[in-house]
Amino acid sequence: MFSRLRLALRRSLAIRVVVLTTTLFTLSSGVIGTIIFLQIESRIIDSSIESSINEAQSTITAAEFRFELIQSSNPESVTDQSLEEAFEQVMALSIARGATVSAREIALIKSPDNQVSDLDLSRTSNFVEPESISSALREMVETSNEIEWQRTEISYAGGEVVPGVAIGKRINIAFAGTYEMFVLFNFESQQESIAIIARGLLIAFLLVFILILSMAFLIVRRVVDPIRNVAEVAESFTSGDLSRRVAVEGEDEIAALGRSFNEMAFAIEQQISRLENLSRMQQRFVSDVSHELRNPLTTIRMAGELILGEKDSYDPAIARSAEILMTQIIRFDQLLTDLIEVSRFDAAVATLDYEEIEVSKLIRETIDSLDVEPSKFVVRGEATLDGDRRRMTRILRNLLSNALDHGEEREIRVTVSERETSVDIAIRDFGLGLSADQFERIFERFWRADPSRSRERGGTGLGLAIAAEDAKLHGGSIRVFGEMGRGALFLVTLPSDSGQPITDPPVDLSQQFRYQL
Amino acid sequence: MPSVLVVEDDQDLAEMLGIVLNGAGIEVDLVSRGDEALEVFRNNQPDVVLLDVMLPGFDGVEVCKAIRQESPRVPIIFLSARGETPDKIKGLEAGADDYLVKPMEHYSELVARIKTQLRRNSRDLTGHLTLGDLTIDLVEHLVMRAGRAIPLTRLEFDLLVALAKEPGRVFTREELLREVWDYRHSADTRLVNVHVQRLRSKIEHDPDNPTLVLTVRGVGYKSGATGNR
Repeated sequence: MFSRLRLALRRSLAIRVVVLTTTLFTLSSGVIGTIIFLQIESRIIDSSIESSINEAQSTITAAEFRFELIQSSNPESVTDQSLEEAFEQVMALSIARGATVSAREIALIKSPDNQVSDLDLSRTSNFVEPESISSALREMVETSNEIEWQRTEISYAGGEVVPGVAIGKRINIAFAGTYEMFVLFNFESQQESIAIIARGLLIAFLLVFILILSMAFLIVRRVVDPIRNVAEVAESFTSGDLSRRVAVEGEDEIAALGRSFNEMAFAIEQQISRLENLSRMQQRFVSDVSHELRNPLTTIRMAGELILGEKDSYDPAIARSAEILMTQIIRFDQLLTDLIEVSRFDAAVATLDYEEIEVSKLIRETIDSLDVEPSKFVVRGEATLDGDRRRMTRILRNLLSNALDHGEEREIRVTVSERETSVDIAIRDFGLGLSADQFERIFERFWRADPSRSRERGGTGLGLAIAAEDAKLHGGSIRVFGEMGRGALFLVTLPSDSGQPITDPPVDLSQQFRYQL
Repeated sequence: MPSVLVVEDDQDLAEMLGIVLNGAGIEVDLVSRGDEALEVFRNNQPDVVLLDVMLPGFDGVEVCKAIRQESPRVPIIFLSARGETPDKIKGLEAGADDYLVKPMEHYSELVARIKTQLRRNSRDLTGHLTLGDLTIDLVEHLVMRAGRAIPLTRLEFDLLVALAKEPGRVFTREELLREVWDYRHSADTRLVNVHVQRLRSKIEHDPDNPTLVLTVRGVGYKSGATGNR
């Protein structure tokens, strides 16, 4: 999940911009919102506390005054009951007073150090739990003669709890001793206002968040979509659809990008069609040359064959001349065929006709067609592959003829091996061999290892070059290894299935060469 | 003496072909223009037609189609400088029986190809064969369905007979090349493919779902639905 998000962030500019914008907005507006909220909250609470303290002050002062009335009365007339009555009066009075800030509760709690009376007249209004006043506040009140306050939770006997503030002072009551008087103000309404403000802020935040998100999306779409469009068009352009163009709107930087892309595409398309034209002309030319040359060649060849057929009736010199004539006609014919094939590779118009081929069967057929003693060849292994029969026959024929030409009349081993995605055909001779610097050059056109020797063997000098091209066209390769005087190893590797890439690791040629020594 | 109509625009090559074929005991009529070929064909009724592809006046493929319409049975051989597969298929689909690429290995090859086609005209078989709802009259060289003759070229007839003679036997393309075309060495197996297609288009009820000439994948062809099982 996380890694997918990271991938999406890396792949898409749009997602990155949107995520970045919203994150920055959330962070900054979160900080600003919190500051605003805290300030409003403290302002509300502070002013409430201030007025609460004022009210509490007057309430407590009034209560003290009330209690002082008791003090001035006749001590004999002061009974427990009258004290209790006075307490009730004070409670009722205090509750009723003012109420400008909010609802209030009163608590009178006997101080722990009160030794004056055994009577405990501690009480609270409306069943407020005495625990609503924290011991910390009580301690503060006990050790001070001033008014003390603390924010608190007012809890009732019924289980209800409301936020508020407790404000208290020590008072001295005649005949009853020291009591702590607390006025508890209910801050529920303030808390509610704060909650409303918080909600308002949150809603505002969400609205702006959505606004920012959609704005980010819109902007990104305005910017990224055209870029993405250019990228997509460039991709299909690369994969060969040269007619694709970018739709350009407006005059901005993105439009400029689209326009330059289109100009480039146009230039490339023109250049390519020019080259295609050239290649088509070349192809036409080759095809015409082949036709024009083949007709006279056919005539010459037939005439030559006819003349050669009668050579027994000629003077020996003329008979030999007829033979040489015929050999050279055949060579000319082969050369023409090979040249046409090479031009076809160069014009990239060579195509493959796939069919299922039994490789070792094709090898034996090719050996039969070579018109030599088949026992010179040892064929091992079996495999089938999808290939072009004509081209594979030509690969084999060229490699086998080459092995015959340079094999010094020794045995030639052909080994077929099937691998996961490819078929290897190894052709090993034990003749002249070749040196390392010849490995590459041997596939060059008209290249001959030993000009003086090979010329008389015939062959066009194009055989191996064509074989290599044929293998390449299949998606395969021909590699060579050899040592001077110890023979050569040609390894043809072709894919098993048409058009499928070869994934098998390449064979170590030098090792295989020594293995077959 | 059997006669061959040679349609070839290269005068020297045409003359050379004449010399070679005459030497093999075949009478030769020479035509150098495509648009003249049909008329000469009508007048001389040759046993085999040898056609160049690139001709002035009338393209060889067109000539082939025209002759095929005139006579469904006369063997036609293309002799072309173009040996590409699409060229071959185009020629064969126009109705030719064989396709030779210039230059031939030896002129005897050309003579052999012509003689194979000539033999088609004088093959002496007797009796009848049945394949599905087809009746094959080997004497009259007729293929009948429900009392009606289906016009086939001689080559198509031979191909059908080769398959129907041994019902159910699978023939490889190479075997059919040997049996029907008399090719001793390997030749282009597309020759077989194209002609099987053409045969099917004439004898099958639904050529896309053949029931008489069946393909055996990766091997070749066999005849199916034989009447005399």
